[in-house]
This record gives sequence, structure tokens and C-alpha cells, in this order.
Amino acid sequence: MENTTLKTNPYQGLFNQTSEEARRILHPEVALSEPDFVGKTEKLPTLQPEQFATDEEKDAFWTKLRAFFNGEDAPHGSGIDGLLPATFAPFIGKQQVEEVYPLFVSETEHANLEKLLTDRCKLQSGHAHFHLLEQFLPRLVQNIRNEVGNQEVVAFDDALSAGFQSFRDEVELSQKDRSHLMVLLGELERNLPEEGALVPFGIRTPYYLLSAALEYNRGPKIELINKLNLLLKTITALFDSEKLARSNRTPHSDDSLGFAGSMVDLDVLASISPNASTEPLSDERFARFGQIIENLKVAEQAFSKNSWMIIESGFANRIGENLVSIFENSDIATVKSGKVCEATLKLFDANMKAVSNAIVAMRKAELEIKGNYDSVFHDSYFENFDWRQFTTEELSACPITMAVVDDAELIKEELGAFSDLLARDLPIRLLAIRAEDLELSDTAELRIRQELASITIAHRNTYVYQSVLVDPDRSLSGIYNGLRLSSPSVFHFLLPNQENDVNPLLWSSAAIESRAFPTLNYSGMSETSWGSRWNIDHNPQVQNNWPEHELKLKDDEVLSTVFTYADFMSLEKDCYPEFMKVDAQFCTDDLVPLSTYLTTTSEERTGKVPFIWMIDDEWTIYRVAVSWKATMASLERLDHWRYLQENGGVHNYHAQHALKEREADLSVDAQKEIDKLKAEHKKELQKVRDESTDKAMEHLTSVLLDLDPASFVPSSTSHPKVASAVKTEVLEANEAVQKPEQKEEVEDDLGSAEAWIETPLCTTCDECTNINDKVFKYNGDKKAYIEDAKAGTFAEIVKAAENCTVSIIHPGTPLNPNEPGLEDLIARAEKFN
Amino acid sequence: MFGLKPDIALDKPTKFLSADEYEKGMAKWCPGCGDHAILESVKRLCSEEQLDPVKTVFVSGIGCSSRFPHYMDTYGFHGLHGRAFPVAEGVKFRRPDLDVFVITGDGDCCSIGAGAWIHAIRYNMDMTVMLFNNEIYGLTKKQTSPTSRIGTVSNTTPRGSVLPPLHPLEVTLGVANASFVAQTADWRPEHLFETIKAGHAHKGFSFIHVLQRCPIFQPSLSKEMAGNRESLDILIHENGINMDEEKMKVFKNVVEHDPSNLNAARELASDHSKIHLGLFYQNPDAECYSDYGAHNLGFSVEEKMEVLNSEFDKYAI
Repeated sequence: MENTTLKTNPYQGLFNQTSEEARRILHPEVALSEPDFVGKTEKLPTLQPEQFATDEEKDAFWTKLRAFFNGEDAPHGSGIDGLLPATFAPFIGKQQVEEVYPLFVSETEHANLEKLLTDRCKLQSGHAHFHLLEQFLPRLVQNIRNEVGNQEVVAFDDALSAGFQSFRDEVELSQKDRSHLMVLLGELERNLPEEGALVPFGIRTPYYLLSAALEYNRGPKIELINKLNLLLKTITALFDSEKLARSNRTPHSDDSLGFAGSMVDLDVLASISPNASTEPLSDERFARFGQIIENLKVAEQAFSKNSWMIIESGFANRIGENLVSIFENSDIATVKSGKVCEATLKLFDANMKAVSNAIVAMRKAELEIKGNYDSVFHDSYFENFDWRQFTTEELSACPITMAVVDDAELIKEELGAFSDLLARDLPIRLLAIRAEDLELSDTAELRIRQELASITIAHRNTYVYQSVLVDPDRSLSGIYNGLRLSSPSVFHFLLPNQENDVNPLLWSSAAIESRAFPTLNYSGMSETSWGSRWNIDHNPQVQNNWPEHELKLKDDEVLSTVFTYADFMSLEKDCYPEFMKVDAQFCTDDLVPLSTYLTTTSEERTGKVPFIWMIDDEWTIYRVAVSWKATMASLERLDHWRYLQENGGVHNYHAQHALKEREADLSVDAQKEIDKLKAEHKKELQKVRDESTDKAMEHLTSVLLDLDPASFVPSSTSHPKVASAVKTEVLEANEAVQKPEQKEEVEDDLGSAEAWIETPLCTTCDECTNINDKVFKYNGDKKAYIEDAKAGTFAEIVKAAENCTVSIIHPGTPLNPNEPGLEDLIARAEKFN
Repeated sequence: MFGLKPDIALDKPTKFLSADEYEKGMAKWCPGCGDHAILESVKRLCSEEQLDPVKTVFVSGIGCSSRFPHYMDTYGFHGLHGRAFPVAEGVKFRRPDLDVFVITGDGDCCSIGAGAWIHAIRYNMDMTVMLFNNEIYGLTKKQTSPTSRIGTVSNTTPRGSVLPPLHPLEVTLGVANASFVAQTADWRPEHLFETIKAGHAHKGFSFIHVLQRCPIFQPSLSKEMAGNRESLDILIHENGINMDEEKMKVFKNVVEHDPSNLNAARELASDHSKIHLGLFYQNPDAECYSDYGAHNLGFSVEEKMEVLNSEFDKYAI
């Protein structure tokens, strides 16, 4: 074999060693590093190498390991300080960019900044130098992103102009390309929205998202206020005219008649008019008009705010003075922990009464203007009118009653009040924030976590959106959808632990991956069937218990890792004691992956110790044993995930059971059908066999006895069939021969109109451009096209077609009928058209 | 991880070089010469890959093709006749960080430089090699080259050449440690570009045989090669050189060929009844000699002396 490949390089090690040794001799204090210009290879993790250990050492280790598993402290030196879950390997040493942030929000749309710019940029995709804009778009996004910190919302136009400016200053291009890019940038800037804001990633993000959702789509509110003003104007005009009538003065009419005013009584005239349009209002109606106007005058105030909000005082302090600026169109009140539900309920009752009055005034005004108000019917209707009689539009225009709470405080301090609030089935919204570290440190006492979402869902006619902040676009939609319902809504968000060293977005992502805080959308109002109310599709690998990943190791090896709740726990310093590093030489079959351990029976688990994979900053991967407590905590999370899965329609017990039963039934039915068909087939086969034998015998006898010679000669009826088939074939063949000619004629007609070039096939050989560089030009890709066929003669175009080395120039027909020698030129051009 | 990508570079580039910025001067090849198309494809590759001009080197020998480095605004070495490979190997051996391209012609490579060529294949140093084969000596006004077909009438063979031509693909595939062997044609610019791109991406000696037309001294051959679509087969395979459907439309005949199959590649190369375009053979695991040259880079002379002395001291009595 000529191409023998050495699996290992026998010299590489020698050279490297020499180099390494030499460096050690020269600079013992400096770690070995390659010179800059030596090609770097991708750094990949390796498994911890196995050292030699005696059987005694192994036994001693396992004694300690089992003791650790049962609750004792891990021996000194086997802690996980400095280790991270192995699934994090691709992220280690890389600075994370919150590419899902900032989120662009305006009153009409919301989108990730990068997506917004990419979409708008595509509007210019037909531009010859579009690739320049496409090339630099990531940089442009980066520059705009840099204008947005991680604290405050920034006005979109400010960030945009600053980002564009810094980009324009730093971009390095040739003069020509630069001018093209600037034109494209100008157009892009014009295509971007003028209004809006950019929401950053940070501890205030949920509040910004809520504020944006409250501002989003104010259409119904504006429409209702316009309607209200129109009603007020109309009914006031009617009321004023009635007032005038009652004052028995018609100064304007009298004035208009001048001196004749004293001779004509307009009221008498009006009363005898056949088309009298109005009649005096009854006192009762007149008083009602006055009342309606009074109510309408204050009605706008009832709708003007986006929300009435109760914030738990601890949160209000945390958000700080930004509170007012974040929710600038809301009435905010703070109450202490434990009183939030009660205060929210009171607030709802009080404010909805005001809104109801406003709606009643509007409804009455509408009826009165049309003259349809019937006090017998309507008085009692409006007497008992409340928000439940609101139309969808009216409800959408109402300010929203909101509460912002800490979920742990809510459950701890006022679970009863919370349940009562939900049971009342009112359109009240709660933003519940989980800002603590998921009680991970509290592993001393193993307990089932009280899930706020599950508690809310237990009240059935509710709406729940639960997520971390890794998908702000979807989160904003989730909040917005919940704001418009007539049932209670709970928005539940997990904020990253501020004290953790891990990147907050990576931490949040890990919370979803580990099923610690799954994404969940439950919409009790939307459908009547239970299963259709659930959506858990936006969790990673919904079908699996835990997300599985493949980690590329050195030497083309691959390690399958599973991201469990224990992996998530290992990020918390308080949980470090729940883990113990196991050196490779001490691994036995009794050390099993945690994901496997959790799915085995208690008998199978006996004597086993679960582990997870972790990696250190030297990129060495270790097995790390998990304590019994952390294992049980993982089991609790798995159980919760299975609960969500089944409700979300994944591996549903009842569905699977029904499926199995149906499959069994079907197989029985199918078997019966098969047996029946087989029997029929057998019968039919036998029948055919019998008949054919009889026929064959008959034929044979006939032939042998020469009784019917026609029986083995093709029958006369078959001849016309054969003849007609042949004829058809001939006709088709003739047509086929004729058709291409017709086609060619059509193509000729189309192709001969004007000169053209198959530009993508051009080889840039300069032949045509040398003949006439005004007719033939190169495009941005240095491929020839016809710039202006009139800029040269037909003779030049034909010559170019003849000279073209790849025959891609098609001269068409001459544009100038007076050009000399056209006949000859047209003949020469013909073969290229 | 959910919603996050690990490979996000924090700093996005602020600089972009378009294809024209890799060009220097005006290419002085005849109008209609296939070299123009190759130059455009190489410039396009440089722009697409944003190759750093100060870290890119074009090395050539002598001939029409070898004028190539003059037209690239990168480093270049217009060297000795037949010696493009040794120069390029020298560059790559001690500066493995540089992107090395070798431009050579049928005379430069297959005649005077044949010895260097054979060993360059075997060394398999990481470089992109383009052999411009127009089957004639054009720079010196039409003499028969080693790849000229039998019967080629030229100044050196006025009654037609008599020796059978040397086929560069057959030769390359016959040498030990060949790692990337492809054929393309200057009159199929998209395939030309994709082939050069694939060759550049390959780590090792990427040998690209470019069928190149000389419309001045081989006019009929040029017309025949470019005009006859029937005689052109395109090789496809999931590991080969593939183009999108739209670009594939210009090819009438498609042939499936696995580039890991050396024997099949040799068979194809020896079939002269048709022109096969595509990747004939690729072995990404072939040993690269350029991996062995830079082991002590970054050492100053003093440092080297110190290392040597310390080594010698081990044997001091």
C-alpha cells in the first residue's frame, strides 16, 4: 500500500519532548507555550487517566465512598471545588454573549435585536453588494448591543444611532466597498422601527418584560377612550339642547329671524311640523342624562392606566427607584409580605367598580342616544352590572390588576389567600419571581418542592407561564397572552443566583436543562380538554428524562453525558459537600451513572453508588459520586418532570396503555383477517387449479383431435388491437419528431429579442470587454453582462459571441436596422441564439 | 445547552477584503485565456475565507501560469523553472502558519520540475497546488509539452508529436502518500471555485489539475473542450466536491465516485475517453511532512545555543 497512514506519529513526541525539555531548561518558571505562529489545534477534554492502585487501596476507598453516600463528609481532597458539569465543557473559557438579548420591544412588535436587524437587512437582498452588509451584520449587532448595558432599558433610536456610528468609524474597507456599504446601511437604518426600546438581560428583566407586555397593543384601550369621548360629546350636545329648551329661550333662532322674531313662535312651529325629530325629555330621563354625563367625565380616568399594581415591599426595595420608571403608566402600591393577595383583591374590587361605572355610563349613553333605554328592563340590568358582563374589547381596554411577589414568600405566608384569590376566578395577574437558589442548600431536610405552577393549575381555570430568561421573546408573548384573559394568570420566572460564579445566562439555561425549573405554559381557558391546555414543548429534549449530550474528547472519542438535577446542584457552593470525586483507578461496576441509577429498582440499586461527569479547568474529566440526599433531590425533580411530561402528552400512561390494548386488539383482528384471507386464497387457488387442469385437458384433447384449429391461432380480434397500437406508436414518434422543431421555433422567437449573456458561466477571460467595454461589463463577481447593447454595433456583439471561449453570449437581433451587412451578421448570430 | 451556543466569538471582525482587494495590477494573459478564470476563483476564495494577505504566499515556477503571484496582492515568489515545489516546501516547513499556494504549469511541473513534483506529493505538506495544464508551452510561443496530445503540431514537433502524453492525475495517484487529487476546468467557474475551496480546506498536499484552455496556441482544442458538454462527466459523492442543484444543471453527465477509493480513482484517471471533473481521491489521514518542521520555532539563536550546550553537557566527562 502506497498510502500507509501512521496511526501515531513516532517523531512528533520526540520533537515535542525536545522542545518542551528545552523550554523547561531555559525558563523553568514559565509554562510551556507555543509561539504565536504555530498552528493551534482545537482543545479537547480527556478522561482522567487511571493510576495504579492495590486491592487494599481500592477497598479502603470504597469504604469511604459508601460512607459518603450514606451521609458522611467526603474525605479531604476529593471535593469538587473548581469542577463544573462535563456538559459545560464547550463553554469553559469562552466568554458568553447573551445573544438572545437585548430584546427589542415597541407598542406593536417585539423581537430579538439580531433577528430584527437580520430580517430588515434581508429587504435589500437584491442589492449587488448585499454581501457586504451581510458580512458585517454581526459586528453591527455587537456594536448596538454594546450600547445596552445589563441594567436599564435603552431607547432603540439612541442605541441604534450610537451603534451605527461606532460601526461606521471602525469598519475597514476599500473606498469603493465602503461607499456601497454606507448606502446599504442608510437604507437599513430607514427600514428599522423609529420607536421602541431595548430590554437587557439582568435582574430587572422580568419587570421590563411585564412592562413591555402591558404597553404592547394599546389599540383596544385607545379605541375605547375614543368611543367614550364621542359618546360624551354626543350626549352632552343633546343634554345642552334640552337644557336650552327647558330654559324656554331660543336666542340663536330668535336672532336669526331678526325683527320677525317677535312675530313667529318657533316652538309652535316645531310642534306642528310633520317631521318633528325630537320631543322634550322627561324629567327622569333628563336627570339620567345628567348622571351619565357626570359618570362619563370621570370614566376616562378609570381606563387611563395600564395597570394597578401591588408590589411586595421587599421586591419594591430591590427594584429601587427604577420602579416608577419601569412601570410609568401604572398605579403602584407596596404592601408587606403576606398581605399581597388580600391587598390585590381589595384593589381589584375597588377599581373594577370604577371601571364598571364607566362602562355602565357608556352603555347607557349609547342606549339613550339611540332612544332605546327602557328603564323597566335596563334599570335592574345596570343595577347588578359588574365586570363579568364586559365584552372582550371592554375587558382588553381595562387596566390590569397585578401583583408582584416572591414565590417562596407567597407559598409560605399566604397560600390560603392565594388559593382563595385563584378560586374567585377573577382577571388578576401575578408575577411571581423565584430569586433564591431553589433551596438547594436546604438539603438537610428532603421534601417535595411546592410548585407554584402546579398549585395554580390545581385551580383549573387559570393561566400559567413559567420560564427562565433564556428566551425573552417567547416569555414576552407568554405574559402578553395571559394578560388578556378573564381568568387568573400567574407568570413565574426564575432569576439567576447573583452569588454564583457561573455566567447567569448559562446558569439559567442549566436550570431548564436539569428540569430544576422547566418551561411550562398552561392555559385553562383555551380548551375544554385537559391535555390541550398544556404545553411543555419548549424544554430541551422533551421526550427524555434528562437532556443527553455528546462530548467530543481527544483521539476521536465521544463521551455521552446526561445533564441531571445533580449536575445543576453541583454549580452551587452550598451543595459541594454532596459530591465526592472518584479517581479512575477506583471505578468499579458499582459506580453507575446517576441517570441510570434513578431509573432502576431499589433492589438493583443495592450496593451501587451514582455518579455524574465533571470537568476541571485543565480539561480533565472525572467521575463524581453523588450523595444519597442529592440523589433523592434529583429523583424529586425527575418525578416532577414526569408529572409535566404526562400532562404535556409525553409518555402518557393512559395513552400508552390504550395504545397497547388497541395494538393487541388489532393484532387479533388482523390475524383473523389473515386466516380468513388465507383460507379464501387456498380455496380460490384450488378452484383455479381444477379449472385450468380441465381447460388444459380440453385444449389438449381438441388439438390432438384437431377439432378446433382456431383455438391455437391468434384470434382475429387481436389483429386490429396490435395494428392500432403500432399505428399509435408511429404517430407518437412522428409527433415527437415534430414537437422539438416546434419547440425550437418557440425558443427562437423568445431568444432572438435582445442580446444576453449566461453570466454565471462567464470565465472572465476579457474577450468581450476587449471588443467593447461599454456594451460588455463585469458585475460585482467579475462576470460579464450586457450593460448597454446600444453602446456598440451588432457586428461587435456577434464578434464577441464568436470569440467567447465558453459560447455564452447570445447576440439576439440587431437593434439598428440600418447597420451595414446585417444579413450576413444575422446569419452568423443565428448559431449563438 | 438550551438556547445557548458555545462557539460565539466575542469580537466580530471590522475588516473585510473583497475579491478585488486581493488583486494587484492588470493580468497580462491573452484575452480568452483560461488563467483569468482561475485568478478570479482564487481571489473569490481569498475573500470568502478572508485570508490575511500577509500570511498568504503564492509560489510559482516559470511559464504563463507562473505569472500568477504578480497578480495577487499577497506575498509571492516567482521562482526558478521547475522549482516551485521546493521553494513552497521550504516556506511551509519553517512557517507552518502561512497559507501556501503553488501555481505551476504543465511544463514547469511535468517536465523540468517532475522530480520535485513526485517528492512534493509524497511529502504531503499542507499547501494548495494548482497545475494549469493547457498542453502547450504558451510563454515561449507554442512548443510541445509533456502533456500535449499525440499529433500536436508545434514549433518543436512541426509534423505532429509522436509520444503519448503524460497524464498528471495518473502520475499523482501513483505516488505514495497522495492525499488530495482533483480535476476541474477553467470554463466551469463554479466547479473551479468549489474545487479550489475544497483543496484549500484539505490539510495536506491538495493537487488540483486545472484543464486550462490556450485559445491562441491551442484554439481548436480549446473550442472542443469547452464546447462539448457530452464528453464531460462530473463526479459526485457525499465526500466529494458538490454544488447546489442550480449550479449542477450545466452538467449533463453525473457519475458517482467515492473519493476514498484509490483504485477506482486510478481507473477513472486512466479513462481518457472523457473528461472527469471532481474529487478523484482524498485521504485526510495521510502523513503531513510539514508537521515536523516547526518544532523549535520561536527560539532565538542564543536560546538554541543554550539548549545545545545543555545537551552536550550531558556527555561531558
